[in-house]
Amino acid sequence: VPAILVVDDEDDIRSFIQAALEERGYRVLATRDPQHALRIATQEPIHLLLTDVVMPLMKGTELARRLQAFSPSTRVLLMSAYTLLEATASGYTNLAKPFTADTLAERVQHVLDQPSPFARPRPQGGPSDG
Amino acid sequence: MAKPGRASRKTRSTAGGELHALRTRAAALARRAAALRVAQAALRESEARYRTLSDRSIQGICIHRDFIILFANPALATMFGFESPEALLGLDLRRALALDERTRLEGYHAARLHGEAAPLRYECEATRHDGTRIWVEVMASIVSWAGKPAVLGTVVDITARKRVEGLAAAQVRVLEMIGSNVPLPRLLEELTRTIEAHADGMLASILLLDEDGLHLRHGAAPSLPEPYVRAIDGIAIGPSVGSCGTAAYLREPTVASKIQCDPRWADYRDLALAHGLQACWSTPITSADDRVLGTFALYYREPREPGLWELKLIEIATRLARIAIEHHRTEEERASLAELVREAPDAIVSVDTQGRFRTFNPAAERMSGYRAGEIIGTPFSEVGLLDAPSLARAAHNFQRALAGEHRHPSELTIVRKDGSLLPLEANLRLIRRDGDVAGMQVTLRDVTNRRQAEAALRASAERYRLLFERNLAGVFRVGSDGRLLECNPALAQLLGYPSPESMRAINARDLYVDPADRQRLLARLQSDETVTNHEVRWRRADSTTVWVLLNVRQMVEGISTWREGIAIDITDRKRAEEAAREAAALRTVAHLANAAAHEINNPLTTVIGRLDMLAQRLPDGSKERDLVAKARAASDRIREMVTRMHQITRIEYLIGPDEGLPPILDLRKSSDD
Repeated sequence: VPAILVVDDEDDIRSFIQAALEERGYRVLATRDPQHALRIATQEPIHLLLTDVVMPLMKGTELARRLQAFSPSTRVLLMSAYTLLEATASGYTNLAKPFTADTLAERVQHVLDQPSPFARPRPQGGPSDG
Repeated sequence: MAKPGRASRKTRSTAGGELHALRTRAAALARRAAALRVAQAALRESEARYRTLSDRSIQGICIHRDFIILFANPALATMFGFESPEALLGLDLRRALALDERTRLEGYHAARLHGEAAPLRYECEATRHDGTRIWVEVMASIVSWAGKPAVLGTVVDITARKRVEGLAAAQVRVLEMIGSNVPLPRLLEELTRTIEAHADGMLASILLLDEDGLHLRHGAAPSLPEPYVRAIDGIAIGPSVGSCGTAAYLREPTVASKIQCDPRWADYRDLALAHGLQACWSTPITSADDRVLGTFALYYREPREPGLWELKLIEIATRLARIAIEHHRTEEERASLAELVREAPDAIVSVDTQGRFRTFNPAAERMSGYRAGEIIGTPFSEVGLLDAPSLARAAHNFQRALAGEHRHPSELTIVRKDGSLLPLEANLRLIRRDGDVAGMQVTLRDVTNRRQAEAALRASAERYRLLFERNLAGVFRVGSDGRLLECNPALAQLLGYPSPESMRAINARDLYVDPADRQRLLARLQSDETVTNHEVRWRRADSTTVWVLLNVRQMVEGISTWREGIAIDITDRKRAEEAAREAAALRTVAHLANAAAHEINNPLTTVIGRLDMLAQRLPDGSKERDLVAKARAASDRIREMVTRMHQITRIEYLIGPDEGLPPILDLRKSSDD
């Protein structure tokens, strides 16, 4: 089961995303603290980092860069309530708030489906349609 | 004296008997005694007559032998300042004579005694008992006095006549000095010395009235103390300023016979007395046309009043001083006029009625290249000084001017000695001598510079006209009442009129959209001559408005005033400024909207996500599911609005002069959506 690390300083959003993704069969790890997120990523493999861009402690793009420094195979999907110029410029796939659970799942799957530079075996039992 | 002798001889000639002789002798003696009594009485009478004659004579009479006085009458004593004739007896006459006179008179005396020719009548200068000098005329003859020859002298005091003669000679001398142009200070000094020489104990002074007519300046005072002269040099005249200041002020003689007590001397008394001056008589010196030229004053070292002689001296002195001063001034004027002609930048020449040059000043020499000596005496038509057309014109003008016709300045071209040409302007003036036309004075001015200046002025005026007409900015002139006097085509175009001429009837006050703009402009022109960068809105011919930048200057020439100005169309700039202002306002709104979008999007994500989840858990067609669907639809509308707000961040790229507001900020459009 692909492990998705969700980072957002808004508790409501984090819990909604966690519920929506877990409902679709993903393993979801969630935190409001980017530093905590980095520690999590050192302890277990993370397939996808789903992070807000504008957070008080660390920008989402910075968090992604640091995380990929030691876990290059982790995919990244950025979320932002702002205009996504900065997120677009970073090269990462992004998702504008607000979004529906379906849109979120579709994007998550899309990112996970991108070919890995390390040709890891494709994770089994992807998200179901239901 | 011979009678007694003759009587004894007659007596001796008588003969007869002794008795008869005795009787006869007694009778003779008695007759003789009677005759003698008669003779003595006659002699006494004669003597008394002569004494009376001698005593009462106004002529001095003296008898001297070898200059020792034997007899003198009272008139002589008075003439020489002695108390009585007796005081003169035994005195040596020669002591009263000057040395050179002594020799002369001794010569006369010796000649007379030896029967040689000597003047019967002569004049000589003598000294009186008190040392003062007198002139006398003497008539001398030899008489017998106490049996010995002596000289009888009849003496007349001719001092007054001599003084008058001397004074007349002195006047002639001063007049000669005036005629020979002796400098004024020396002349006045000579005059004061002359006057002083003709009276005893007086100190003469001449002060000159300054050109301002208010102050007296030192003229001449050779005998007055130097510090006193310096102290009164430059005093202001007034009704109570010593004798001279008062005389000049009141224009009448001012006599202070006793300075110590004279109220007019109050301010100068101590000064005068400190120098021993006790009396001062001053008389104004007035010109022929009755202007005060200065004062003539006589000072004395004792209190004194003027006598007839002094009054005569004062009259002569003031007359001579007047002639000297006026002559000097005339001479000065003549010299300065001559210098003017000599130094004049213009050529000044004169010709006689035949057109022959009489004078030729240095400027004329410079302009023509000829020396005066080469020209004078030659008719202007023969010198070759004028080119042919100028010569014809000059000859014509000369004849007309001689006939008394007024000629305006005319331009001539002269041919200089080196052959080059020089344009001149000639002015003619008739010279009259004793009423007859004596010739013509011609003033010639080099007009090369003026011609150049005129050409430059014409060029400048043309440039200015072009500047006015071709200027892209509107240029105008407005009368003090606001009437448009003049404007250029650019202004007509700016205001939408076909031509400047079509704007004649326009008054500036009708141009202003806001009359207060004009009031502000006029108020600024009240305090400053020039107002720059004054922005106003004007109304064009078609009633549209135009923003103009005005630079206006208040002009005054004589009694007329007007305003000149330049108007530049700044409507485009004004629009750009307005747009920039609006854009800045929109940017602020955009930032606000962006921040708001973020704040809305986060919770909206939760709302939409949770509603979707809730809907999935409710059965299809249930009332609850319908309610959730409505809430979900409202959420979508919020999302859509926030998405539009996002677009504001790109607003600066979107806004152009003719583009409207983005839909999100256009309230009308937003509500239509």
